[in-house]
Amino acid sequence: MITTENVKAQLVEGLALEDLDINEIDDNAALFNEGLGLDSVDAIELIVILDNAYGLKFKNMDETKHVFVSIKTLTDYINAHTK
Amino acid sequence: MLIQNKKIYIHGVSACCSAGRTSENIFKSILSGTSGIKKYTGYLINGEECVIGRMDFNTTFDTLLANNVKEVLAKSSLKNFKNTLLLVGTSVGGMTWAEKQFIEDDGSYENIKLEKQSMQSIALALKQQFTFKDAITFSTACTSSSNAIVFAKEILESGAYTDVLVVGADSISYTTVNGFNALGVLSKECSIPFDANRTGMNVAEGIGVLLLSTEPSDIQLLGVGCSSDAYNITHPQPEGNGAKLAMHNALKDASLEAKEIDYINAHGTGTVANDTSEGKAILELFPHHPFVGSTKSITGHTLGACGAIEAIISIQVLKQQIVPGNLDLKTKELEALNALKENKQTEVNTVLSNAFAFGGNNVSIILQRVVDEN
Amino acid sequence: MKINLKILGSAYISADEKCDTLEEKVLVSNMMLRRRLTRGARIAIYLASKVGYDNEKIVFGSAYGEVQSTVSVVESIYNKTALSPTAFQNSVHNTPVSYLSIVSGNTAEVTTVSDLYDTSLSVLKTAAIKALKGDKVLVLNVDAFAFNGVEALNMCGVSQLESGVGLLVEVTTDEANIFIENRQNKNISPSLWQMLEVYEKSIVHENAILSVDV
Repeated sequence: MITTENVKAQLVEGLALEDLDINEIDDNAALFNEGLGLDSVDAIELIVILDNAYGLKFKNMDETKHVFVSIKTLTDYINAHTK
Repeated sequence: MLIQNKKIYIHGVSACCSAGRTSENIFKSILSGTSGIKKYTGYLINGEECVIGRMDFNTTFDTLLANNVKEVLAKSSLKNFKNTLLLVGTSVGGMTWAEKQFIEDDGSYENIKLEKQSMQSIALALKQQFTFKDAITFSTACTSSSNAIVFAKEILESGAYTDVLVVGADSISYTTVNGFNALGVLSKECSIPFDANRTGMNVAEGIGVLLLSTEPSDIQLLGVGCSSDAYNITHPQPEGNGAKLAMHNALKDASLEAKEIDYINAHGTGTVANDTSEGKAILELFPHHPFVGSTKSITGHTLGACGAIEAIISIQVLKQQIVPGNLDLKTKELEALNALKENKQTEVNTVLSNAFAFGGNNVSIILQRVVDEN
Repeated sequence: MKINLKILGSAYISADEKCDTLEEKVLVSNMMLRRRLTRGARIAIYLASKVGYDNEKIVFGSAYGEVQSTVSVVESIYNKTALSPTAFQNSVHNTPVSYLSIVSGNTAEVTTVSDLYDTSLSVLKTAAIKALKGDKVLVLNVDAFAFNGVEALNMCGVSQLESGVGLLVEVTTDEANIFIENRQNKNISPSLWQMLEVYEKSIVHENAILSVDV
């Protein structure tokens, strides 16, 4: 079982979010545009991270819409699709 | 302050890409709507097919390059290039060779010779066959050979040289095909620049060689303009502000008004981002609606070589007095953009050619045919 | 043809592995932008801040380009792992000065040259011609090439894996007092030697004027 803390750590490392304190990231805050403020290149990077770490694949950006909402939705998706 | 009032002309040119082995054949392909872009396997990491413009001439890239340069020398009044400055524009350099070597050596760097891997490798390869006075390599992604053309004009105007050879050259590499795919901008079909339903670009390879001189000829390099978007490392400024500034600077350099441009050879890659921002910039700067076209649906996006190759295509437009139609263009995203679907034989005296690159690097050049007053 | 350039500002930095005084957090306060900056970009931004840069046109040179990004891409291809789009977009040679133009909001012309060990000379010749119109020019030459396979490629046995020189120049008709004599420095990549020589000579003259033979 992956925790939201694990996912936050992966994001901070994988997206090079320098100096961001994991404790400051809210589990339910928006990942893109507001909240964490990630952009379209981060969305693609996130797909790369999930592929390399968990073997998860997305056919296109539309499939990520409901997954890449918050840390919580991302964590739930990873746990639902990995053993 | 120290610029002499010199006019700069283009003499011999030579080009090859997936659409043709000579500049004449490339233009024939453009006019007949025969694209050089095809499906290939073996490039994408995920094993899928990719749609790219490859030169399948059963000749090495280096041989094609040398032949293009030989052709330009033969067409010129020069005996050799001993007093000529070589300016190369390339974004891949020797990476195609280096990738293959790295893979062959099972992920080892031990056989990667920097002279063969670097951006300078193109100039070094040419120096083996030709003697130049000096050589400089420009490497600014998709504006590489355009920036070489800009510098050629500037150094000719300074009086430091009377002849400059510009070489734009980029070969297809795993890096560029997979890289643009990773950014989500590769199309699975032949690109349709400016179409409302376009789905992206096609990576391609090509070579373009031009001899520029202060000696008069029938084509003048009238103006050049550069700018930076200062916006984002991959996306252009959405309203095309950087593109507008580069085109404006080229008009200023040429002492021309916008309405004197007859045809715009657009950068027109087929990506959503480029074509919208470039289209908007063109509509705002050129309210007289000159003809606009992109030939990348025929040649593919030849990356660092596109500035040189498309300058040569623009010269063909001026020599043949024909505006090419845009292959497979069905529904224009920007209705007011004067992008033709069919070729049109018409008077064309002045062409503006654009190139825009990663990081918001923008270059526009203006070419004019010299009409004998008599 | 000789062109004389007045050196209005000059700076130099180098390190065995990693320059650690680049003041990135001060120079690029926006973390979301700063996080993507390559080593070359951080050094370029630092050098620009030390020479009095104020959004002039830029001439940049790098022999090896964005090594870490390029290596990341090539290794993904070899290992057949998903490729990072950031690594690809950062792998072009003009990356450092593209970021500099973004950070400083500079819409002026930016150009990059790359001629392996001749890069330093190419940078100076290009800058000299660009300066003829009368505008000041920011001239930067950076090579940052630390990566996991560097020993295999470090034929010259260079010890400083990150180095950069920056100059702010303006064309002048004043007499030159700095001439390039091709000084060598075994610790620094040969691609920076002439620019480093210019830097070293510029700091001993009150009114430093460089002669460039284009």
